[in-house]
Amino acid sequence: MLSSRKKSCYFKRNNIHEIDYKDTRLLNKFVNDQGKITPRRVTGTSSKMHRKLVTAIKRARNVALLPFAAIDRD
Amino acid sequence: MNYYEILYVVNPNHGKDKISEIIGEVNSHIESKKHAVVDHNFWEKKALAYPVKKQKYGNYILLNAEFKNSDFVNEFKVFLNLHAEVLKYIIIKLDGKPEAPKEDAPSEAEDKKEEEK
Repeated sequence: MLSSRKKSCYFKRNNIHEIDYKDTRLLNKFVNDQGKITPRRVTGTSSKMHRKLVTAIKRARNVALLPFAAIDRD
Repeated sequence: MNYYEILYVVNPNHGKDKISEIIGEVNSHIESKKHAVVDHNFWEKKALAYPVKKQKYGNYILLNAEFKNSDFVNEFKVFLNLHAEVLKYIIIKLDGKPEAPKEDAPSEAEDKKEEEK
């Protein structure tokens, strides 16, 4: 059976209008293991919120809250 | 009059006394120019996502301030750049007066909702 469940925006579902760059737990959901931002086609976020998300992630990276590139440093 | 949010990272190798001294220095620099510090909030020592100036940890300090004119932002940037103990900082202009500071822990209800889906 083909399931065509439509992806929905995480922020719309949870009624979030502003994204804080300090909220790393939230931002980590939209970043992959390498530290890259997951594309909109995968996460299903609306374009408006994705734009806000991208600025929040980039701000967090600037103050070392999130990595630019995550490499195992052992 | 504009409100700004400043997050800066201080050298991790200092005790609480030295950190509060640094916070005092930064706050007094703002106040000496007749601008106002609305609130400041010290986070605990955190691991940095990448090493900054050969440090792996940092003490984060969140500062809300009200600057009378936007020219002070550049001046304040110079001050932070020259400050030896400040590793990194970010200055963000706020739309309005900052609300009461939120704890650095997002609500767990959100996470649960996501898991159910």
